[in-house]
Amino acid sequence: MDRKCLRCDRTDCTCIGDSPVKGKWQLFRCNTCSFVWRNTEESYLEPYVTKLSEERIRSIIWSYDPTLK
Amino acid sequence: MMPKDFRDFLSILDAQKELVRFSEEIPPEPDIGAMGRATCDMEMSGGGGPALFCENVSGYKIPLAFCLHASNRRVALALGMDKKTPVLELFREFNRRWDKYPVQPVAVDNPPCQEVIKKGPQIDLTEFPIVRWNTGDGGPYVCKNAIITKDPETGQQNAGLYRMQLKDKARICVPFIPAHDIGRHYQKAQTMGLKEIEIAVALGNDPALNIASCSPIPPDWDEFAFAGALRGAPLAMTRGATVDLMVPATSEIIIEGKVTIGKTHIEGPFGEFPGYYSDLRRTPELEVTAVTHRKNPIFEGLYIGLPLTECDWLSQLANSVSVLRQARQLAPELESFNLASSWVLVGIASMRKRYAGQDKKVMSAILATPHASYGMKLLIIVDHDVDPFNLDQVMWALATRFNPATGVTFINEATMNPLDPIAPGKAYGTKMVLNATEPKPPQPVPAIGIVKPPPETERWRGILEKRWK
Repeated sequence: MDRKCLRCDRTDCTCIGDSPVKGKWQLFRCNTCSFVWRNTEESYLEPYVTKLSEERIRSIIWSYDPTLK
Repeated sequence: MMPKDFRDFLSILDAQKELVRFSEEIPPEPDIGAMGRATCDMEMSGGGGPALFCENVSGYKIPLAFCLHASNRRVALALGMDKKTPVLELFREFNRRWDKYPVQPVAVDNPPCQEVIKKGPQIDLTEFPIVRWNTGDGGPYVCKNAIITKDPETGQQNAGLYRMQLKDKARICVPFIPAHDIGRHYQKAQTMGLKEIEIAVALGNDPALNIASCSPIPPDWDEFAFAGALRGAPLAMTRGATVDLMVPATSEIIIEGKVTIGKTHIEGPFGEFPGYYSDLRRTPELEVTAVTHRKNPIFEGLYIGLPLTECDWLSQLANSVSVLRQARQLAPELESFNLASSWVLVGIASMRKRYAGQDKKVMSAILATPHASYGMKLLIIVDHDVDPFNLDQVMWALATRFNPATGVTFINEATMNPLDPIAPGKAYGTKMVLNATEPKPPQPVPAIGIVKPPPETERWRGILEKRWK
């Protein structure tokens, strides 16, 4: 099943881990906005998450990056 | 009794009835964060809240301990002192131990922290109970650690406490700014044309090392030698398994890896110490080259959010003492100073005032210290008869000795903490100083005096405390 990111609604997500005790949870990461969540959070977490638009994602910088000129 | 290491600290907390253990299965979210919030609330309400140990976080095989430093009682125990020591006495003892610096670490072989060594495909950070502490966080976070880097030019090591968002089995981000020592190392490596810097992350540490890691000691000081001064004995250190860094030998877990200069990924938001979320940003990431740990390791976490939370108790003494020592070089009349972590935005100073205007001298000395000049936006100055750690007494001084017409000083266009929610990311703004000291001649001095306790009050307090039990 395709997973949808709770933050940016993209479906490009990676399962980064299954629970060491089998069958308890899976951890996912969105490859677009880097949000990380557990499938056991999906039933309640979304109202707490601030949605991100594509434009907003593109605008995120590290303002202290010394490599920026 | 001074704790020998993290596990000994847990035993001491058990013996002192400061630790509650849970054997039942507990969901990682939202329950672990909720438990942290609840025990900090209990601590703030005056009844006391315990440190927490979850043997069975759902889905994990490794137990989780958290909120270990989340009270002044447990900070006292971490320093080998009586848990009933008043905070002002803790502050004075911390100041005395500062003078013991340095107690240099000793190198050891076959350390406990390398009983198990994992490299390559064996590396899996998701085996550790790393959880989302607050619902608005961008993911699960490691919040209590000692992140070790070294100056690429001099080789001098540094340890600091920074949040880290889990990104993958072998990737975790490390947010920092140039003002941090790790930021200075990163910047220097970039100037020298290096492609990467090595990092080691120590978890489940000697409790004095956790305090030292978030202490604003001078930049040329070593946190491990400072931890030795705090605990009155040297720390044992050993060479990392895949990095050219010395790591604490008795820590539960060491994550080793490298950060590529110029490569960043999205991180956050994260519920930070002022009680507000810090915004999304791009930050460097640690690419993990090895995870080493003790047999049957214990993972340590830290709940952070609306103050007070563990970071406040963990760093209050160090923040306060560092400002006191630096400011006293210019203003020896400075008596005590209170700068809790959540209040790096607010400081309270007590002073022995002899003449009118002397409070401005103290103000200037405090504002000149690196820690206060960077983060503090409100400074309250009280007389020496007011304990700056007792907020009831501070409010009394404000109510009675502060004159709004003459007692306010503004400093505009000053450096500010970028996590200050009033001006997020701006890092400059206006500071304010409130003078809540009594006037001295030639200022008009009120004719009325303070109501002093009747004779025999102390004796009667002793009698009442005994009978009340």
